[in-house]
Amino acid sequence: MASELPRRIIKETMRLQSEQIDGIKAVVNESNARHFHVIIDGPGGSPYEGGKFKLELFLPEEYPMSAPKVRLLTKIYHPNIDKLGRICLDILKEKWSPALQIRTVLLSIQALLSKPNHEDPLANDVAEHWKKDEMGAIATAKDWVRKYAQ
Amino acid sequence: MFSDCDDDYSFDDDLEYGSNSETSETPQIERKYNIVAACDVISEMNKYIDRVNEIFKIKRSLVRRLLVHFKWNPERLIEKYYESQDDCEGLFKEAGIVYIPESDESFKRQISRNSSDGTCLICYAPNSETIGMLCKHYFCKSCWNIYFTTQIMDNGIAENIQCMETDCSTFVSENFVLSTISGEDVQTRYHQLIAGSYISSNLMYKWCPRPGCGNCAEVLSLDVKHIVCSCGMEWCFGCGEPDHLPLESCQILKKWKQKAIDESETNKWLVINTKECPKCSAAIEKLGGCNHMICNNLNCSFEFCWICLGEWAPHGSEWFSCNKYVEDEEHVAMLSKERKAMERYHHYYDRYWTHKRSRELEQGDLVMFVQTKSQYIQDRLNVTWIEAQFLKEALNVLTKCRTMLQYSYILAYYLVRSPQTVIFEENQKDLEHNTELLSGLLDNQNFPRDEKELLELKMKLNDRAAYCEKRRIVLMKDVQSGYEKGIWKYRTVF
Repeated sequence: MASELPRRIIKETMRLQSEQIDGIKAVVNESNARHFHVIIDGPGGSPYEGGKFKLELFLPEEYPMSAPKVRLLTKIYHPNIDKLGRICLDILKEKWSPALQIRTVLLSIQALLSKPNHEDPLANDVAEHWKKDEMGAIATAKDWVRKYAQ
Repeated sequence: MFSDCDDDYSFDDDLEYGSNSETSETPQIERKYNIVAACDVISEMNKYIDRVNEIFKIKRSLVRRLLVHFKWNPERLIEKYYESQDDCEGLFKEAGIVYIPESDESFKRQISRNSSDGTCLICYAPNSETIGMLCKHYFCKSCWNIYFTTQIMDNGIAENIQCMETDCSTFVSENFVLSTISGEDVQTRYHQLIAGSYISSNLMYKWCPRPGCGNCAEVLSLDVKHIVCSCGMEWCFGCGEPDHLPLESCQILKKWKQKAIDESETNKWLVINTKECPKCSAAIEKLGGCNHMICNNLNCSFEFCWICLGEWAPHGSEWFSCNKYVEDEEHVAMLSKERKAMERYHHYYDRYWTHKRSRELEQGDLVMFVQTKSQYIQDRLNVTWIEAQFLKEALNVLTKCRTMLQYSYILAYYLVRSPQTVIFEENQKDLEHNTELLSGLLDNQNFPRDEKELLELKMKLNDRAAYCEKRRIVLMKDVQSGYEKGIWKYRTVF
């Protein structure tokens, strides 16, 4: 499927390069224009502060009619992100709208890091930990940042 | 009551209903249901909408949306409409419809306000003419088209397509979709989906369960259960399963199927690995430790010996072993009762399963074989197509008999023994025996070599098939008169 790259993707890629977002770095894969390497800085004030989190983002053939596929590559202790780096975020699933963009997706993920959604956990054990012993869970999260996200 | 109607089956066993036995002999005069072809469903639906629309006198698609919202209950819709003092807008808002009273166009064309240079923010095509609804989210037509096509073809959504903008919950009107999408297949699918919601939200309609059939049945009363589709499929309107006569109750069928799942591996494991608490019958697995057991059931907490299942107290300090190796008679009786119940179940299940499996096999391999044979006698023995149909007819009888036998074993399992069940079992036995003979005849690998042999085969098959069909009807009549007279008593309360 070596179809021509849609104008939308070209525009978005250009804009990602020209207008940097605070704390987010997105670089397109040189050999695949639909594949992006992303680094999100742990948001200040969150347990992830000081960490650098690697992500990969892929725009499927149907994009923007279907959502980009995003996966966290850095290990993280977070109730909405599981061991495989899969992210539980509504806009990546049923709330996806073609009017959303790579930029908005990344911003949403950054927001998810600073404010985990305890109502809709993906990693149940982590969410349980958070509910029972918030201090302990935050300590573990910080510990993981030191171990895996430098 | 419903005398002389072949299609009526009531939910209540005590209700009287007409005999079904003549189904195969006399044409149905008074139907209690209609078979509606897929393409007619939409016109059927539109007629229905138009009747409701006599009150509203607005666009048909808007009334449909309202009806969908009110689960196709026009009384509720109209009630609500009068309650809100003819305030359509409130109703529309509740149903998530953007309503434009002043114009028939439910969407407007105009240059995008989303960006200054008229760029569509989905595809970034510059200077495109963008369109949108009253929610004022404008995108180019090509993007709307791709979006609708994705929703319809990939996601199977038609009735509830929303605006493309993030977090905008405005539903897209039919007019907008139909004037935007291209491609006949997309249009067709869209119509099918629209009709689908009409069918699924309407209690009086159900799709024929045969894959790829696409017909649906419209019953005129919910008592109607036995449906014969024009595709040949016989099915039950109550549960949407293939016809399960002589077992009348969908509930018993459901229970049986659930039992089949429960009884399988789990039950085997329980029998092998657990013992029942002698007091409360909770299943207990011994994971280790001594033989002094304390039931985990907090309401019970019975202390007993794992080996003899007797009360623990008399064992005294001999907690490490039990010298009462002589098995308690009561326990043996209990165990054998369990085992008997299981054996009984397996007796019926095996037979149920055998007929089910045989029917499935016969529908596959035997159908092919019969076709080959039929073709052979047409080619070699100079027989016309119509004359060769006797093979297929016999096969149809076989399938019907298998189905009846299959479900008759579920009924037999749940019935309390009585003189009537003896008669029932005799009928069942006779039908079963002859069904096997018929199956054997059809499966015979010898092809007739001349006219004489063909005539012989035809006679044998016709006789056997006719006899089977007769026995099938006898069994069914007997069971149904049992329902009518309230003879059948069930072992379980449903």
